[in-house]
Amino acid sequence: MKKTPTLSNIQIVSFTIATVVSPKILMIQQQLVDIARQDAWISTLLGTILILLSTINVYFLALLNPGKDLPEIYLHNNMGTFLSKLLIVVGIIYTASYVCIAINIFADVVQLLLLNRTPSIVIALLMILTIISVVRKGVVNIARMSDIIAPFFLISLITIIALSTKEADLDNIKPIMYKNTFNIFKGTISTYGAFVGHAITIFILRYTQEPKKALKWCLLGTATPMILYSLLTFMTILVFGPTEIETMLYPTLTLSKAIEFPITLLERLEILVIIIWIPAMFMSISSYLFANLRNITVLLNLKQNHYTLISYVHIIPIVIVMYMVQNTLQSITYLNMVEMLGTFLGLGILPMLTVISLIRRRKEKKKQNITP
Amino acid sequence: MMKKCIFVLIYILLISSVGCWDRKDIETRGFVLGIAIDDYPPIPTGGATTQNESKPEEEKKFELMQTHVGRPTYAMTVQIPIIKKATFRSSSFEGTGTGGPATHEITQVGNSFFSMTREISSRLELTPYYEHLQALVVSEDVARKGLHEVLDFFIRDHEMRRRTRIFVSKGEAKKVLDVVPRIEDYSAILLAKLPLNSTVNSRLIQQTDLGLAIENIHKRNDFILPYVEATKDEIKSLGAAICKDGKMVGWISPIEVEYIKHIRGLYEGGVLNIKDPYHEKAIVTLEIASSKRKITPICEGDKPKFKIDLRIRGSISEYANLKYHDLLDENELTVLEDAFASKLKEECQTVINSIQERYGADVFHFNTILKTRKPDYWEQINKQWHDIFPTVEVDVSAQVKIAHVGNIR
Repeated sequence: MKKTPTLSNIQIVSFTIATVVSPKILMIQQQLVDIARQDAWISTLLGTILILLSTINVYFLALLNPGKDLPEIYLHNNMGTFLSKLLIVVGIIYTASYVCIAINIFADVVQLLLLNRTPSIVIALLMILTIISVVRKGVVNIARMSDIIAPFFLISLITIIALSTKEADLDNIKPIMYKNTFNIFKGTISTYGAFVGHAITIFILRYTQEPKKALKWCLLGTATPMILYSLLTFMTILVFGPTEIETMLYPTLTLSKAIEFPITLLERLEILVIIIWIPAMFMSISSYLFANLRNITVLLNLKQNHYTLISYVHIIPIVIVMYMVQNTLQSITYLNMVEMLGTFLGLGILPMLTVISLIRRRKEKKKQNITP
Repeated sequence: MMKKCIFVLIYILLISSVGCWDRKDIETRGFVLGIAIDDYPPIPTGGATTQNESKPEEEKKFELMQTHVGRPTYAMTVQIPIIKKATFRSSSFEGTGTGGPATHEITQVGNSFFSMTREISSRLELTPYYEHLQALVVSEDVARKGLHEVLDFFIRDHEMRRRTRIFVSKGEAKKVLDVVPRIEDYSAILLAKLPLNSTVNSRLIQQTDLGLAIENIHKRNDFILPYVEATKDEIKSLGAAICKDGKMVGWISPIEVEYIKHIRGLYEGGVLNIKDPYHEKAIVTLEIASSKRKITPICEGDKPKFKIDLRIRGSISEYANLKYHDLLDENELTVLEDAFASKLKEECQTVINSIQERYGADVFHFNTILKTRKPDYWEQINKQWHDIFPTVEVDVSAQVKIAHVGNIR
């Protein structure tokens, strides 16, 4: 049955922006500086290029499989039922793990900075219930929420970047690319892993009105946050330098705390960042949860009216993860592991799937030409 | 319908629970504006005012705390504003002291700053709250023992801010907090605002925050921190404390701070005086509007050399000790420019040599210049830098441009 197009092409932009936001936005600089030192900003720029190429790949994959999202594409491409279902399961592991760890980190940060005495499990449950209330209604609700939240998020990011220029010291990024090329490329892969959320387009293109004209919107949705993240990494290095960033847990928050603003009312700029970050995380996790719902419903051959039930089932692993993860450092380690899986899917499986789809498409065309 | 009701009920419960757990009324918070850290023993006495109304001997009992491990080594004093007093003073325009002290200062002795902050809670009806901490004063004795040992808590705790100003005090740090300023309500606010005058007074250091101090310690850079002394109602910047390997090793005068700022490229504004080349007793004052510097490292052999070019732009702002002088012409201005340049070159050279000789502390951050511009060379010498720095040759040149002469020639 043909799916009714429900999203406008421009909504891909806000949807992708909201999904690309990850808990990593608070800490990516530390991870990259650990790898590429003062050249970490070059890694994010190269990572942005890699992510844009990946977005183009995802777009063509969607065009080669019209009206289908990722789990359906697995099944559609004659890869054998076992392999297709195995890849869907891998996808489920990735998205479910991401949701659990992201909520864990979210609760941790909120507890650390805002609600010190509130048990993190309560913060996590509140978040997941809010997310479920949006996601169970389907993709349109998520898109509408993204439309509202994404602009605020971008404005806050631009504000932090702009205000921190005053504290910048150019010496902190020098020497540029000195005996560091290999580490820069390693950092590029880490950047890709941290923002693999751009691949959400493969789940939403089937709902758009004109998928064939959606490429520029997909690229815009990916490039906008990625350029801002690159700038954010650049500014963080300019302000603190690599040695200092290595000691930080959440460099973005530290950066917002380090900004001296002449207006006393805005003395606590980091609270503004947190206030914007909370809905942004809400959107990002919502998109991942939606992707997971799609993976599960396709794998088990369920219908959309099961979304609510499957959504609530997610509370169980979230609670388990909340009790399993002992501390902040451990949750960051788990997030890095989940990102490695995301990198494998994004840079390994998706391009392979495009090639398979292309071959299948050519075979189908040949058949059509042979058949009178 | 039932499902929806349960969902809404859970939701309301969760939201209301969050509010209960973290509910904290603003009037129950004790906003800490300043912290002073002194060496212990002895317990710091601070200013000679009656800040502490009870007898010192009785209070000593409260100031000591039981420690889990080790012996108390530091005395931490926190300054908490008494909001009622502040309102009283400002609304009635009464002078300092008429309504009693506007701050409450509590000293606690211990060896862990976090424990000390918690111990202070046992003596206060308010919960100490550090989000608005303005100034941290460390006594010279503590700074000489090592700054890193005391600063960890102030950078690790989520309530603390990296932009909190840090000062080293001559004598007791508590004495600086005990100051009752003439204009401001609180000494911590006065301290926080003091560096803002660095745009007009080049002897003040503008980069004085906790974050920068910690960054320098992590980068193993030598650095300077403002050195202050207090009277009963005034705080004066006396130059800078020189820190090497995270420890204070000495002190430099305010004039030396001026030249360090020229060399570091941190100069925001100030004045320079010379004797008038045409009249022996007269003093000419140049108001410096901008100071730019270019440092070129020359890496040949075992020791690097540095060439510093200073470019100054300013205005003649005063001729002092002179009854009458000829009208200024362009030739005279050129002579003055050369005289200012010569003075600047000479003084910068003297300051560099003096600091190399006295402290061997690279407060000019020549190491950063080598590290960022000559990384190959830096790799070879970085481990011996502290031995090399005192013998490094520095050649200073200066150019001064007088743009304005004021309202009269």
